[in-house]
Amino acid sequence: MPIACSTEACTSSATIKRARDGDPVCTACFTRRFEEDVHETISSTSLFKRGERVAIGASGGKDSTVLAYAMKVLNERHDYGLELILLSIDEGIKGYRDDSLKSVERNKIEYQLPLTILSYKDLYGWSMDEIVAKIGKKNNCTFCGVFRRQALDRGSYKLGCTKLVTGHNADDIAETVLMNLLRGDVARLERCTNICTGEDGGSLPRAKPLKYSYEKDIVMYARVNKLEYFYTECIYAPNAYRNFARDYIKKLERVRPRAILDIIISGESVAIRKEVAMPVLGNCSRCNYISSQKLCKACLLIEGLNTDNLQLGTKKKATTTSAQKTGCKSEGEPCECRGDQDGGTVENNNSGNDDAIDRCQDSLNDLNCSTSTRKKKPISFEATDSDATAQDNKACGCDNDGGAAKIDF
Amino acid sequence: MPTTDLDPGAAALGRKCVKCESPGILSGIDAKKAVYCRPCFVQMVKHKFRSALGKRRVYKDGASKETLLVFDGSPAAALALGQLVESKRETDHRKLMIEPTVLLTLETTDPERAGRILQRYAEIGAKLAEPGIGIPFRIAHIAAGLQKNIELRVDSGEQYIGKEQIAIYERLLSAMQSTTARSEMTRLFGELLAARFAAATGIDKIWLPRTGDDLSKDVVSFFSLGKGAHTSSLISVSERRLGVNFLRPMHDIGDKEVALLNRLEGYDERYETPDCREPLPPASIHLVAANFIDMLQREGYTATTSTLLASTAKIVDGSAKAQEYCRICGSPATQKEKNSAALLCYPCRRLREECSEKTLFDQALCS
Repeated sequence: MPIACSTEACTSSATIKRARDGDPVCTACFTRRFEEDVHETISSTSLFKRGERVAIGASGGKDSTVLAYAMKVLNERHDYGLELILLSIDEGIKGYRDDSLKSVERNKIEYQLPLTILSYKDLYGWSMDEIVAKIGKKNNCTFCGVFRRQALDRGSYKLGCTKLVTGHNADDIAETVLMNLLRGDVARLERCTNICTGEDGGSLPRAKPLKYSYEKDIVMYARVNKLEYFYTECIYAPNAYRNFARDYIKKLERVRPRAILDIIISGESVAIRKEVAMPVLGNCSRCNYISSQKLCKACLLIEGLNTDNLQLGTKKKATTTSAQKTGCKSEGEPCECRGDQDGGTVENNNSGNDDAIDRCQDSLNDLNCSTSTRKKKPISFEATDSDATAQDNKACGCDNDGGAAKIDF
Repeated sequence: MPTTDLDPGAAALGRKCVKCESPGILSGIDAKKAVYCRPCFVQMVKHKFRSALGKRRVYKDGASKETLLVFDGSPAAALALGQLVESKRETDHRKLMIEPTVLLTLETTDPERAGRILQRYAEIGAKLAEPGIGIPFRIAHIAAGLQKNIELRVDSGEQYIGKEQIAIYERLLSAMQSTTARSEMTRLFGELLAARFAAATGIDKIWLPRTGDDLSKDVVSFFSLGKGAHTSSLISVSERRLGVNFLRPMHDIGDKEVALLNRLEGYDERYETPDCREPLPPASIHLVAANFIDMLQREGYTATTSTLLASTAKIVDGSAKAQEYCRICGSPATQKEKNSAALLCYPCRRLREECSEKTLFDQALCS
């Protein structure tokens, strides 16, 4: 006995069960209601202004493919008046990103949207394959997440965009709420459920129109509308901490699908006690990207890669005994670190010898001691494209602490 | 079993006690952090228990000393009861100055199982009634939480309060459409029973037998139920709600520490009541959350519990300050959640939506 579509006035038989509310619907109603839900999210939060140039973070995966398609459809249907551009980042992961970029190229043609691709190699001098070869299969997502976040912002500024949208869905946000709780990152916990972050003027605003859309519904929407996407998991992701949270969310969904939205609702209701010290945002002294430390996370990580100090940016303290013995002098005075005494040569850390790394305790934030072993000149976070002069030196809203297979927000 | 065999992981490290020079043979969740000899371990756990209350000055500044211990037969409840009994015997200046009453609770509706538990409770009651201890106690089924004003007198022949409410309690649980909802209702009934019993006996403070590990699992399940902002108060050491102070003196003590102390002090034999609590149902958020935390601990993330509790302590409700409170659980509820029956918070409203007998739900809980 066929089940009727639950949409009022629809006489078709149901073929799909919506993950979000469990309603049985026909194919046409599924598509229509999915798009209406996204439109409701956009309109109820006044997510966009007419005439905005919006970059769509496109990886070729299901979320960004559905996001790009839905944005195009809704932009035309409801006359948002937006100029949409696809922005893709090539992390340099063979067998993963090179294939998914082909999917993005197809999207560009099918949706008739312009596409810009930026690569880690061009931006940072390192591809993810090279990074993993150097650091091993640990903390990979830290590097990738931090770099991708900044890369998307740089690309968006370069294109003259006033907003960036990403395909983060309800499952992603629920995972992130849980992760921030588990890691004790209350600063991120407070803002991770915001529909749009960075609107306080300190950074490029980034929005999540699929915030309340379930991952299962996104997959079904792509299938029903025959959208082509790339569906292989990142080869460096298996060891990510996020997988624990993801596994929990999946089990939760089987038991009580509504719980995913309830976690988001929990996260939305949270504020931080006034007496809790929160990081103060400034700008990276090297590249001018927004940062709560002297150097942003991306610069720290790159410095670590370039100087073979692989713990830089991934561990909280310098772990060397000599680092504890020597102390950095106050600003302006010569530092006792070896890097300064011998004219700037920093010895290779790979031997594991504690004495090989003579960095002061503050080395995580002050790299005045590091020198000539950098492969590239410091990255400057200043728009070089004359079209983006309005964005010159604009501070971004990221504190650059990655750690997720997806971009951290 | 020799003490050295109680915690093989700690003993195998071959380190000295962090407080003295004796061999370290016992530890908390992470043996790499600290190992203790037997007497120092016992002192450490007891100190954590007492300092949780002492730091917050719960019994200072002229506050009432009357306290209700909710005893559910769990290891945590056994430890708390052991501490209360010990305090009655202590003569030195560190005596825990409390006037306790114990409420032994029943969850099961199976008569045979209830019979076994009641027998065990009778043994415990006999110990509490010994000269020199003299701690008053009552036995109640959590169904008694349905009574707005708990009738403390029990008909002759009845062993516990609340027998008349069991039928409605069972009907209400059967009307809930998911095991999560049933599990959450059971938890709420336990709280209502404690609060209403305390009110009926004029007691202001209630000790809940929840360890740090239990509370960290509660954090995850409360977030998954949409409680979010209220979680902070629901797992704190001291919380005022439903007209009473809920206290959680084992907030900083883990399950392993409880188990070890109970074994060392004999609380397990004297007070633990196996099979007393209903097991978490298989397809419920509560069990999924509990398994998740246990899995993280096994995977080596031993700071999970402490980090969760610390994070939650830093958060508050970000919405507009509530003027009214949920009719069922007493948590703050904002105006927009008002429904036709009663003002309910979001999670309790969701529970009501899952009940197929809304009239019964409203009569039993919202009126």
